[in-house]
Amino acid sequence: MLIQILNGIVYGGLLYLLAVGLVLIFGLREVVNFAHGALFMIGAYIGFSIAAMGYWWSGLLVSVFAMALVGCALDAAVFSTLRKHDHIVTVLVTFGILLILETVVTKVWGKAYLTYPVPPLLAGTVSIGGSPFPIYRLFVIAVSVAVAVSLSLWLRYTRTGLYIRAASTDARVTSMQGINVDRLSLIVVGLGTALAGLSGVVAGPLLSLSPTMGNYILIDSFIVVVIGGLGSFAGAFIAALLIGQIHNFGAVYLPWAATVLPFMLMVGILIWRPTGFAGSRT
Amino acid sequence: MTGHVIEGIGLSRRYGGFAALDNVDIAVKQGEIRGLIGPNGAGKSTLIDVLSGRAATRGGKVLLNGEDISALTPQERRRRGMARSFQRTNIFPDLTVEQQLLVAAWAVPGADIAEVMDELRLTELADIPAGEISYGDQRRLDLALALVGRPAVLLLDEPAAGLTMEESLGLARILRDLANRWKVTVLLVEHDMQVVFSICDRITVLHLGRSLSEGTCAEIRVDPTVIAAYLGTEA
Repeated sequence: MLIQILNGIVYGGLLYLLAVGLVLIFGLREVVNFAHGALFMIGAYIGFSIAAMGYWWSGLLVSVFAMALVGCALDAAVFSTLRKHDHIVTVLVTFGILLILETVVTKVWGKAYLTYPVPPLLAGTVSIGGSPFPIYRLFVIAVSVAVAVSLSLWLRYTRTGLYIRAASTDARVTSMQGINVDRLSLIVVGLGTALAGLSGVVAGPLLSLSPTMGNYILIDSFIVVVIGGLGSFAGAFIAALLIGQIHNFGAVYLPWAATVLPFMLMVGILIWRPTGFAGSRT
Repeated sequence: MTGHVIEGIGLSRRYGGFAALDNVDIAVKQGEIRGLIGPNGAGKSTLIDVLSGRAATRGGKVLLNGEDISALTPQERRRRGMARSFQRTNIFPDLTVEQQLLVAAWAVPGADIAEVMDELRLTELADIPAGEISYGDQRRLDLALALVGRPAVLLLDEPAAGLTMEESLGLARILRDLANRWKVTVLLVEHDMQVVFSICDRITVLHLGRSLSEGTCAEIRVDPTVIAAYLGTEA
């Protein structure tokens, strides 16, 4: 049972890393980023390419940095413009970006499934409650918790964090108070996509790499964002852990219904509370 | 220099085929509270939008202390001393009163939130999330946000909307007092004529996007064109 709970936390942690990027981007730009799963996938491929040369940790750093740059470019070239358009336009454009990125990855790395290695430092298992548990999975939990705590402290206690919380509530009013929301968005989207890259690298050894690897986890991440409440960082954390557990326990005890359980939960929560756990937007 | 802190010259703004603002001139002196009145659709909020940079003027220009600021963004105008409020409150419900004021203060060089909190009687609410304070307190917070950094010009769009008569007059007294002591120039859009006539030095009346009349409160009260278009015989 303890191992099952830990496995649920591992998946929940990965979902959080991806979902919090969606929350950040939606909060400031009001863009529902369907390309986020593709950014997760590209992050994994970049990390993989460098890890395959024997530099696992460098792969992680390069991937995070590269995805941050991609995010800044996306914000400047696409998201800043999309904000003025209807939400359906943003959905279509980001979906188009997803297809383009998948095609690029297919051309560069091929369609075949690739295996991402575990770094030697994190290989092996430890005994938890008498059962072996991979050290690498504990690392995934640690990364997720570290990101959640750092992000929470940053948003709560720093100047930029306060600006982001204000702009996520109402970008127009924040702008009228003299704050450059476009510059803020560049930071936020860059951070969101960097977290997608981090999530892709960290998830790499747990999943097989393929051009479509981001699609399934993106759907679960959207469920996390909706259940947690659009624009809510704390809500996303709680919802990610919940979906992680449901995903894991569903796969073990209700395998025939495992794929629909998160959707059923989402429907139930939206009927009970249309703004999600902690959201103020519908 | 013309002696006016804020000037709008030939301001026009169209929404589709509708002229929300049609070649309007306005000039307000330092420390003056100028009321901006008129029926719904007269162009009052549009004039505030154009002056603050939220909406562009089609022709015409906006001067701040004699300098043409027509090309500046709202953020740049805020940093140069032009603040504004909106018809609805601008608060961020999840941030505490102090955090909200800090957000506004960090964007304005040399701003001090302590004096604003003190003047608007918000000090004891500093640690409470803004979404949890009363509506009257939220309205005072809204005014405080605009007053951070002692702006030269304050553009207020119905700051007393939704307040009781007692709260409205209390807010009006604070505004009058700050305009006198801080020499803040105020352009006030307000439907509550009791508030307008109690604190304004002069009044500009807009009607169908044009400037209908301008004068002191006493002059506006008896202006037959204003009475016919807006005030009615009871004013």
